[in-house]
Amino acid sequence: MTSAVNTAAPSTAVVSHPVLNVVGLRKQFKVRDGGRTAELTAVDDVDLAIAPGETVALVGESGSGKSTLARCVTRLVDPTSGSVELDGLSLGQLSGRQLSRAYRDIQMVFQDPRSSLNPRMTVGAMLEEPLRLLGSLSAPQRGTRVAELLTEVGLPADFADRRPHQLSGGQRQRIGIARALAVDPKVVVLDEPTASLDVSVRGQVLELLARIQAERNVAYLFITHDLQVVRSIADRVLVMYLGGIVEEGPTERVFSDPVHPYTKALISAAPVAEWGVTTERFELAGEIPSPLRVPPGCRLAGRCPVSEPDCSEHRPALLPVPGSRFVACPPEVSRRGLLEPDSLDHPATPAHPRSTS
Amino acid sequence: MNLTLTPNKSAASPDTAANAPRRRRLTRLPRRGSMAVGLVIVTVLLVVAVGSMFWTPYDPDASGVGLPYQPPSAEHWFGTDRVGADVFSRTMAAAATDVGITLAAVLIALVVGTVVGAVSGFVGGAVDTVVMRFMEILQAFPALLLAMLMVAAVGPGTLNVIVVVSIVGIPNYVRLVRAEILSKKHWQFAEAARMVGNSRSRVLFRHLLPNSMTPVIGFSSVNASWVAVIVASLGFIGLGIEPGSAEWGSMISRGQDSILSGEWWISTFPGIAILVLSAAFYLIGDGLTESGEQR
Repeated sequence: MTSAVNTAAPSTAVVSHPVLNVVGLRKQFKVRDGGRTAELTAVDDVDLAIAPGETVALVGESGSGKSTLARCVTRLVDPTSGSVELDGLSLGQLSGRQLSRAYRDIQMVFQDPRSSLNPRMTVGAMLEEPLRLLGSLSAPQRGTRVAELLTEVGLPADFADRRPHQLSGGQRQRIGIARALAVDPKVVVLDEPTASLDVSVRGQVLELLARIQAERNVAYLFITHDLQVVRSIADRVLVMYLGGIVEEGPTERVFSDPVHPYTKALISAAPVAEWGVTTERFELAGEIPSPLRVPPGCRLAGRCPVSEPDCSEHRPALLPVPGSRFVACPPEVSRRGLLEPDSLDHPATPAHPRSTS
Repeated sequence: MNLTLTPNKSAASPDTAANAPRRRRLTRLPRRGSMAVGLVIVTVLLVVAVGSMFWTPYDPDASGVGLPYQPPSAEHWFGTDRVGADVFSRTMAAAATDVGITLAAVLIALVVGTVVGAVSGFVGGAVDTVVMRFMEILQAFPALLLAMLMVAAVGPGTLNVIVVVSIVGIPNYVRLVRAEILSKKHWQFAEAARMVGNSRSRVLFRHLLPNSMTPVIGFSSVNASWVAVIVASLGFIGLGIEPGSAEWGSMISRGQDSILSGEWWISTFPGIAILVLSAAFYLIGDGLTESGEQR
């Protein structure tokens, strides 16, 4: 991949010095589909950039490619093409050992606290492992650091002797967070960290994450399908559908005034927990298609109430709209008169819109 | 009719529900017990095997310590054979050979099979395909036939028998461990281990493998039960260790002509020894597998 050299990705346009910069990321899997080999495109040409200390949420329903994107960003799986830059260091070319070193700066919190902790290890051993393998502390210093980490995530220091089966779901996820924070990374990728937790515990974990971010200036890539969570924690939100980003912008603006039909549908489908507030349901036809059969034009074309004939022919680019936002829906953008004059002068290329905002 | 049936039914169902846990406990108890029996037997056989190196009633390799074909008596507990050797002493000495070869072969197969299976499952791709096709070739032959062919090719000898019998067992371990690793390699704790700086091989050997060994340990004991039989079978057909040395299979072979003429003890006692050893390993393996499933 020659990477997008002369095209500014939407995120890059709003983040001047990103700590994490993903350009043109694509992941395809070879799968057997009814006897023949088919290509499944899980992540399709995604750009995203995160500033130091920022929280970017990636939302989308199951099967939209969120978790695959997270694993490509941390190179737990190798992307098919595209580049991931962590603080100026390109992760794509790193050997195993170099990649381990890069993990000092990027860590991950996993979705299922039941399966993300090794059942045979004590909590202390689990928290010490990153310090031993990635850090430079002596053994006694590591012991002190483990106790500090436990305190930081709100657990008593004697939890170091426990094993995962002696912990509740919330406690396990706190251990997962402590493990990710052990080496003081610049970026933490959180893959649905609250999805398997009770609602009450969920709030506590989110508070913990917010407090840690305030103290350490760590950037979060927060992957979730829970819009409530997005609203409470994210500075910016990227909406993902069938492997591609359809809308991007500051969380409050996207929530209060979604432009893309998919974002509208997603937000109006979420229950509102306020009296007297009724939202008009904006509904899409049918179900999300199989990622084996992604529509050639706009991914939403077959389900969209506002689609035009042209939609199913050309894959729409992310167009800049006022308020540092980007929307991949030309009909809706022009209908609402949101087209920025600049983008008329420089017509967007299908893959990477040239943005000057 | 219905009126009488319905109350009966409802009365019966809570009854069975209450009995269910107790019944499960009852079926588990004999299993625990059988595992204990197996462990006791193997321990006793090990003590006999080691003890026989220091003391046996008569020299097991000497002929003419008694008259030929003496039935069991106070002097010769298991009688004497055609050349007047003491069958009890020989059976004791053979325990060292058979138990030793069995344990060594199982240990080699366990270690080699586990490493090969773990790497094959973890690396996948072409490596996995080649390894698994090779294992299928090995498994295409009946175990005893394969062992016979290989011993015939490399010649008799204790070390050769150990290596050959372990090779016959390896594919079972490879398949078992590979399946365990395949089912766990995308578990999040494996990914988490990679993220905290473990190399891929450390993820495999320090994190995944220790979590995959429970069924392997159970199987190794079941495996030992048929390895013991294969070792004795090789001895019986004269393909095993050096001819003439004390080994249960070759002892049976030596005594088989005398059974019809009434001297049953020459073959019977080593035969019982093989059965007891094999059964004991099986009981342990069964119990281990059972307790592994419950966790």
